[in-house]
Amino acid sequence: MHILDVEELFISFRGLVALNGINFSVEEGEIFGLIGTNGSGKSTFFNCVNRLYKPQKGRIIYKGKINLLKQRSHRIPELGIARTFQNLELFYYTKALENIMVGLHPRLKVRRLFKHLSPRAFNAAWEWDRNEAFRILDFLGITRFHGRLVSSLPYGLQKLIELGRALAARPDLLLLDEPSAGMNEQESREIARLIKSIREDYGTTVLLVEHDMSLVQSICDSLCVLDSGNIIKIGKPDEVTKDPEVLKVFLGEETDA
Amino acid sequence: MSDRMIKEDDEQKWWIAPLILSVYFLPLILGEYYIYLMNLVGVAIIGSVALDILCGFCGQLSLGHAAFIGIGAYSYGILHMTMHIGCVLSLLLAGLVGALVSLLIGVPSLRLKGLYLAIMSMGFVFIVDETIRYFRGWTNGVEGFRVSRIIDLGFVEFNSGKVGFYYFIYTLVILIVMASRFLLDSKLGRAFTSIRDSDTAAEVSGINLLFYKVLAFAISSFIASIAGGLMAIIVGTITPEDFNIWLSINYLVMLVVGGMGAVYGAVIGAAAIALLPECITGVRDAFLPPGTNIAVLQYLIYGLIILVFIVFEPHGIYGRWLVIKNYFKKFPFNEKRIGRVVWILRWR
Amino acid sequence: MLIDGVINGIALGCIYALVALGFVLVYKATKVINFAQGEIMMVCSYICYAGITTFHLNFIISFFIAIVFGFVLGSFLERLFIRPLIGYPILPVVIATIGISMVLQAIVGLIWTFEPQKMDPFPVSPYQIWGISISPVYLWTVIITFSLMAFFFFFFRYTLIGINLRAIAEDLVGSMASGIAVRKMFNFTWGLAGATGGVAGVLLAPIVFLHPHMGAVGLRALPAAVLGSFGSIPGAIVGGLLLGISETIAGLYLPKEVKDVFPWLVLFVVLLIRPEGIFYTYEQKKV
Repeated sequence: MHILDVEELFISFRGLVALNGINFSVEEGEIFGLIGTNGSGKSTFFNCVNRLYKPQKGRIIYKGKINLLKQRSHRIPELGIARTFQNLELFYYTKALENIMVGLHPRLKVRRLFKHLSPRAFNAAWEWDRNEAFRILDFLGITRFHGRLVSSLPYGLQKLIELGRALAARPDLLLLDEPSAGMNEQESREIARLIKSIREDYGTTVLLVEHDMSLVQSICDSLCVLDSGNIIKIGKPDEVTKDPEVLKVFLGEETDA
Repeated sequence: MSDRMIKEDDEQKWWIAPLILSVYFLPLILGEYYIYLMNLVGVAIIGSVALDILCGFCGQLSLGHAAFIGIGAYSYGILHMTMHIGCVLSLLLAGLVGALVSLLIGVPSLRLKGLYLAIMSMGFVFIVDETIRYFRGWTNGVEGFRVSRIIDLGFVEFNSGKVGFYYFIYTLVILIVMASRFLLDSKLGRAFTSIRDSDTAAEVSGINLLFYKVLAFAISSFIASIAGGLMAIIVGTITPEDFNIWLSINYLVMLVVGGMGAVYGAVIGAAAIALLPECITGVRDAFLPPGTNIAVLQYLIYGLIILVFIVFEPHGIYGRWLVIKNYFKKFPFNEKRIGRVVWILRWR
Repeated sequence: MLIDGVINGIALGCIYALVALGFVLVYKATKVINFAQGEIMMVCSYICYAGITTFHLNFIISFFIAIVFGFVLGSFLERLFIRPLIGYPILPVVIATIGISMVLQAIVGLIWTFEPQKMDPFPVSPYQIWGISISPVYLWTVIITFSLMAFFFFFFRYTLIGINLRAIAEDLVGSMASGIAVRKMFNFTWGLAGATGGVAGVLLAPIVFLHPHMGAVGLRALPAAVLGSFGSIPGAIVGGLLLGISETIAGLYLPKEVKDVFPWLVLFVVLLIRPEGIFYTYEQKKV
């Protein structure tokens, strides 16, 4: 089943066309890579899915039923879509654990929190949230940082916290905006491994925007190349990276053969 | 598993019982005038906790608090005195009126950047003031509206001039403070604080900004209106001049002095500022030549307090207390906090 | 009757426009709403008053001193209270400006008492122009305001400082990287806003009498700034004029209570219908 169908998506900012009527589909459970030069529209596309931008034309169909473009932006996580940002959007002066707990918001049922009225039971309700957040921290391998303020953590850890917040919503579709930006090789491999286990353990479909070709080649099932708002090629990573059109666009960017 | 050990402070509740006891013991040592003052302090605490929910939890600056206190006071007066509705019901309905009116100005203002609420709410205070004067058939305008000092709870009656009322109000204060602390930890409270900390991040995590901001405003106005009704009962006569922008600023100063974001700061600030006019009068009588314009002194002192606290002590008294408390906990492993001062109480 | 109303309205609108201009200048540069703008205006008019009555100076000289004082006061306040708060979220800074406004009112009340004073620097008998009698105050208000607007137009477009200020308003980090002395520019902006307030204050004093709470009139100009989306100077001017004219005309036909809160009612309606203001440019936050 297609978890995402993009039809004729068009958005322009006062004459600058960011996405020029693009079409593609994402299969459920696959890791889909979106690559392209800077300014080609990758993050813009994510913002359209998130409803932070409002495209002029087109449709994005989610799970075959819902047109995302008709939803309010805060409904998106409730539908099961979570994303991370290129420039992190975190609560910097809050503990790492609490940052992740915010991501739980769509899953919180008021009943659970007000079930009993005594303070002790109240704390017990909060235990559930904490356990969930800890579970995610365990999964990411950074449990020992739970009490640190995010502003005091290095960039790589901050990215992981943001990923944790996205995962807290138990998304069916995860949008990752340049997950390996600012990471060295070893960290990139870590991230690649994490993304794969997200797909395996949670069955989440992952949509990646990336610049790092080795990462993309190692984990993506499909690749889509954007240039100036148009799709140049979609297909398996091997085909796409060898395509002459694509290589022309990425002049100077080495693909690890 | 040891990784998960929470090294932070769990709520230390040892001071709550003695505090509550001393609150209940206070009337036995204070004279009648001071009990009246403490009643007003009680109302101030309820009002500042209400404002803390909007400004401290949710981060939305509102200058319109006085308007809702006024709406509550006059609504209670009209409902109880003119329409002869029972006391408790009148109070609740007054709160409801405040909440509904808050929807009216909240929804347009909260769609936009935070400052628009500040400006619109300030204008709202003026609008409410003029409205009260305009409908002088109902409100008696500047001549004052007399409200009965007796509050009839059905099973018992309290006269606001007598000691019984003190116990009633402070029981209410304690309940509201507890309820607000619960609110802080709940899903609502966490949504509020997320909006305050970073509204983009909150929105992306699924929090409906407009809904929660409006909800915070409505809850705040509901409680503020009830405080207004209680104030009407205590002072007995209300006029439009009681509810001007100066009152809004008063409540804001309470939060600045006490500390925003964790309910206890609002309590401390309310106690400090509500007792301030007394201190100012006392100082003036003691040190300055008689006839010194009290208004000059009040404006000067309030303004200086705001500036001094914001520049030097932005977390207020409660914030400073938390820093001291946590300092001893970690000693000698204190980190030097460098960089930006964090304008919110994150350590509870 | 209506013509008189329109003329009064234009004059009032000019004053609103000047104060709104002060708000917008400060907001564009430092992203702060200076609730003390009205009080700066009030202090300057008292300075002018002192010049005329206490020191027996010529009105023009006193006017000039008031403007300079406004500039100095604005930059002084910025240096003392706003500079230490750089980096704070707007909530505490706005509250700090409220504190400043209160202290200013107290100081003025201390020196000059809270009694209203009269100041009539312009000749009182009306001029006759094209068969309409216009009070000189209103005429001069309009003339001075529009001259000031023309000055600002050239200032922001053609002088180096003006261009620097526009750069800072658009992109702070880029400006810093380009070597613009940002802190000095902030200071200068506040000074400029103060000077504008000074002009507004002196023009306002003959109309409403001088008293320490005169600054509240300045606050009534905030809806004008909102109409102008808080971002554009022409917007503030147009907003101010519209506000002044509509308020005066409303005062002719509607009850007194409505006229007293007219700017706030206008603000409410604007927020309902077109919250972005008149001259809105669609801005997209880049994530």
